[in-house]
Amino acid sequence: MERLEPRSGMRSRERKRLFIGLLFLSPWIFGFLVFQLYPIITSLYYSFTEYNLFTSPQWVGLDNYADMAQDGKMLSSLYNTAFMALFGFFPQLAYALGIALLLNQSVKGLSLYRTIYFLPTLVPAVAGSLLWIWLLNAQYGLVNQMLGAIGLPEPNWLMDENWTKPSLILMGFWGTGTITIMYLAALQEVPRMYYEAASIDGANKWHKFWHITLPAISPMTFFQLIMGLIGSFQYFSQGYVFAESSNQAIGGPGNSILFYAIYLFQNAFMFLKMGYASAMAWILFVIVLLLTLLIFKTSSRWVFYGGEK
Amino acid sequence: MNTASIGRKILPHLLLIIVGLLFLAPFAWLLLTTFKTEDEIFVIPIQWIPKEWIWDNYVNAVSMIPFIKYTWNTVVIALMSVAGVVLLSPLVAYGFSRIQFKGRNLLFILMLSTLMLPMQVTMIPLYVVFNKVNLLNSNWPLVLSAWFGTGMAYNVFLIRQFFNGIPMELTESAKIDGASEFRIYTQIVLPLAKPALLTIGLFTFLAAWGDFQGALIYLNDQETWTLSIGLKQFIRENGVAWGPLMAAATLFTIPIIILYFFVQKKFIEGITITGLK
Amino acid sequence: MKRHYRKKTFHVMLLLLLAFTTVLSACSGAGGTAGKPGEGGKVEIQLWSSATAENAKPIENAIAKFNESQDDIVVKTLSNQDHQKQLTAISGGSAPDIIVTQWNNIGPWSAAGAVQSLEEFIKRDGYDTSQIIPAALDRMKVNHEIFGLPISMSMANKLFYNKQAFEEAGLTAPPETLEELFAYAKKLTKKDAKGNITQMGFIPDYPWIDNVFWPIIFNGSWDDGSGKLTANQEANVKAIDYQMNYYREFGQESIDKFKSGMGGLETPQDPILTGKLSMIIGWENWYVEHRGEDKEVGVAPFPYPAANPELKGSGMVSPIAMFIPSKAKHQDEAWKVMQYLLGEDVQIEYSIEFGSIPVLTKALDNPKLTENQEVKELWDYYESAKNPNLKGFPNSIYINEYLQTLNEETEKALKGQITAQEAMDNVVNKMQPIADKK
Repeated sequence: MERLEPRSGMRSRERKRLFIGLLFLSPWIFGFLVFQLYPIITSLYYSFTEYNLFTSPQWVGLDNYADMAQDGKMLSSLYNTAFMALFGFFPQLAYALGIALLLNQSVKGLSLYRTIYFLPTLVPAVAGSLLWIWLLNAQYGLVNQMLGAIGLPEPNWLMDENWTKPSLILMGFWGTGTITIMYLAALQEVPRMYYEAASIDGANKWHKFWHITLPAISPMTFFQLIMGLIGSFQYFSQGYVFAESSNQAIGGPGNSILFYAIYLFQNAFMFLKMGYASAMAWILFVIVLLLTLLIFKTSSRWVFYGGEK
Repeated sequence: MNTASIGRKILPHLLLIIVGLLFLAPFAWLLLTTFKTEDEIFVIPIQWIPKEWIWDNYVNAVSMIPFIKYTWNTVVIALMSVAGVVLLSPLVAYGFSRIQFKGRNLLFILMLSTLMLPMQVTMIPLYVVFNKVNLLNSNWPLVLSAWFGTGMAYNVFLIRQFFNGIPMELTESAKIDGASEFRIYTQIVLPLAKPALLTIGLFTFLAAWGDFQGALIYLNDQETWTLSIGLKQFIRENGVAWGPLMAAATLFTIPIIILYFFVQKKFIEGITITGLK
Repeated sequence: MKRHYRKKTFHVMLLLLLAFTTVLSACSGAGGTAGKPGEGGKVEIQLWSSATAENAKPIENAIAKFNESQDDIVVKTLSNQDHQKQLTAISGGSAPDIIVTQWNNIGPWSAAGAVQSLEEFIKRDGYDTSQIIPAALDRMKVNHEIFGLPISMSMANKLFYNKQAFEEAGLTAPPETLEELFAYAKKLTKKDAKGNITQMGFIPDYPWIDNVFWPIIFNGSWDDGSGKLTANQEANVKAIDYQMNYYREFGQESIDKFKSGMGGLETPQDPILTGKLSMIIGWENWYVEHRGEDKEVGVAPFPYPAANPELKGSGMVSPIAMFIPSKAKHQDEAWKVMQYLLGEDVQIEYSIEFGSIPVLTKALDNPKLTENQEVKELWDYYESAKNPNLKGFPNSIYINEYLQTLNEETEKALKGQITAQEAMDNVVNKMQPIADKK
């Protein structure tokens, strides 16, 4: 017993902190060890093998990773995915914040508005995507009717491979309810006295938004950025349902909506190349982890916690 | 009252209503469709109002699948998930937010990184785990996944962000008074984080409510199926029973709309309780 | 202080809720696992099918009858078990005893060792596989070895047409050859003043790009039976090029725009029923209520290339398969159930309920079908199911990747980005190394 103590070089207070910290973390540590560690390690192992899901995996070293560099579909799916992250997620984040600001006013009937604005998030995907396929119909859709009325070109949203991704982005704006509601909760936490103090100093609305609201909700923005990044790179369901319900093969016209996770799914469950799919998963993991670390690194400059001094 | 101030009163409403209509559209369409005959559902261009209102779709929806049983099964899973998540996640979040210890940031990144591996490659190994501990064909894989799975990382991160926003003075002074970390957690920090807890509770409920793939994979007995599997029953190989599907989708959605309505009301109460304003 | 009490109550409530739901779950929890002895010494086995709701009724009914017919085995059925679930369960070590699934799963899954070969059972019991329609049985073979049995089959070997559209265009008989089909299509296509298509005669890739049907019509093939891929041979290229004719004639953008305005298949706004589209490839289970003598949809044999009259009656077969997972615990019982499901009367009843074609050759002549007014729309199909020109896509471990690649390259060709020959060369160049590997 004696030996264990001072060797670690930790002072007893630090050790006690560590102990209490780990105690609080214990539910996660338990879950990680029991439910996550094994799947994570197996998938890493599979990525170095040829594995068809049924017979035991055959070690192939780095072959899967080398194959990826040659795989044009993998690269184009990565491009499609990055496209959605860049042109889909960021505008949607800004949009969700805008809606949250709109819903954070003190007007009557706010509960009702808030419910309505969250509705699209609650409607099951089958119903939602069916409606969108109607709205985006090239000939009769509401969207093209409106575009036509003001003399703009009317794209074939669902069949033209240049327009399928924009269609999905457009649909995505509707489903931003979860981000909106989290921003709403964050906005409620901004101490009102800050605004009052700023008013006395003669700040205008723009100033208040820029210098009070944005910094105050920066922890939420930080959260959304990281989660959005992770989510965008695993973008799956909408693309899958979209192709399926507009009666097209997986990947849509010209594979224009073949996203990384969809291609990965295809490899794993249709082509039975679990080894290759696992390698794809780990490449994705590394990309997302590096981007996340980058955000973490810069966060001290733009994320402000009320709990810090 | 001059026109400018009337304008200032009406303008926000006007904006909210116009944008709101866009958001109302999918549900309104869903709802209206349930009263249409199959002929009318598919009219091109889109038809909003049914010519003749019928109830048949609802009758078919509740008779084609055991609706009450599936709802009950779903509610049980969702409530179990919520209960565990709301108890466990803030505990972990407190550890990551308020207690300084060596390796904390590393562990935090490790936790987040579990979210970054697509579930398509971890699904089968996880299934093997649940098979080994003999929990297949019960609610437990679903509930335990909600408690300890990747959802936990999400919830912990979200709550940590809220905890980090709570002024240090509040907890420091308690510490000086000799309060233990657990006391500070239960008596100071948790009550302040009620909106955050409501948020993760709501999200967990919604996720459990809508989960199709997990439920299908782990539930091998028709008696234990959930609503989302039930919804798929209307989609058959040779065509979809659109009318009943839309009616079932409506019945599927209404409970969570009501739930959401009450939860978001609580948000506002939650804030007045914190007394920070 | 009051606030703290409230918080505590909140947590106590949560704990109670947790305990309550835990108890609930324990009560409503685990059902039977596969293969435990059932009541009275019977062996209980599990059958999973991917059919949903009403589509699962025929199999459930047939199984119910099986359960009554004998005292040794009880089969429990579970429907709605999709591809991913089937895979996960087999791979994760909890496979059922029989799986009813799409035929193209047999190839990859058997090559991967997940499917029990039936050769042993067939030899042991002297089971006569020649009674099964060859085109359906062939789909169950991988490298000439039988891994499953078909339970029902679908086929596309007809041309459906809107009778009124034909009448209006002065066409008295359906087209005989593919050349006539193209000429008919031109005659039946109308444009408005602005050049937009308002009505079309035929779209070769509607409702989907068909990589299997068209090459069969031209007597194409996809491998030579010993591992060499043949998708780029003349017949296959011709099949693609024939479809490209329509795009060259009417323009890709115009067709796409027109397509986007068509209603969904078999909805009341269906393009065939509304006359927007005059002709379509005919599967046996489409337009059942609209076909027949005094109904709006006419049925004709699908046209053949004028130069190859011997290809008359060609068509594509797509069966539903049943197989025994290699890890199943009760394989002998499962084999018995499969044989039962291929009994003549069971097959007849099943195909009536399911609206499909039975897989037994002798059932095709059984008066319970051929004189049954209830299924008279299918009489044509029963008769033509005997045609030796019926074919299907070869099953293999790489089948899904092969089909996917064919799809991608065909799409490029139809859009005029590459020639038909280039498209099919691309397919073979990509797939041959994969085929060689297995």
